[in-house]
Amino acid sequence: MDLKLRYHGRLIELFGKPEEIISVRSETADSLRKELEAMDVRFRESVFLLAQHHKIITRDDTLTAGDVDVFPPFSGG
Amino acid sequence: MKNKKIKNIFIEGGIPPEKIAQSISNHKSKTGIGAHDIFLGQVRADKIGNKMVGAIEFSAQEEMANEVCHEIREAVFDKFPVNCLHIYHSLGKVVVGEICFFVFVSSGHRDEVFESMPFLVNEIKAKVPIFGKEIFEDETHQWKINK
Repeated sequence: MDLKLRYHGRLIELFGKPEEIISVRSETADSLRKELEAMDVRFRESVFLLAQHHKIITRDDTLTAGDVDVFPPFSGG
Repeated sequence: MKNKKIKNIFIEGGIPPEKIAQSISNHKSKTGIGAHDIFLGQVRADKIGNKMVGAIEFSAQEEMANEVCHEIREAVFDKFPVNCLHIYHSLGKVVVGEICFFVFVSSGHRDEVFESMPFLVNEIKAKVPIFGKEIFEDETHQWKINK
């Protein structure tokens, strides 16, 4: 399925763009994480969280086509 | 009091002290309140190596941040007998010495506000997608890491 990865914070600098559309085979959050890490060393070397529909997604959470937010650790406050 | 409407927590730039004063004043008519607790986060002039932080520039996934704050607000109302609470956070550039984070909890008595405030502030820092970029006085930067 096609996903639009939307980078935030330091990840915008790291990837040199605020967003990109990629095509993936993954259907869950955990498999997407592994697919991204296999795709690009910058994912392997970064701490990142995934979110879809404004919720953090982990483990077996199901992916749907569309936007995925990719967050570095939060640093508000 | 629970409020189903999702509020916008964001304010562009530093939070003016006048806004904090006005928020206090807005509670005059809520006469069941006997105690307020206010947390203010201020941009600190950290020295990192031989550089001084001059400002922090905040960005956020704003829609998600507002929704997560709404959920945290609901959790506080479920967990503590507080009358009302308000959350504000800066977006954009906030210079050293200015306020970037304002949390205001009110209740009938002091114990409830003292107990709820650390929970509330820690939840916001841990769960809300906000990102701080520390800008040094020489205009270079590094990304803020929360302790």
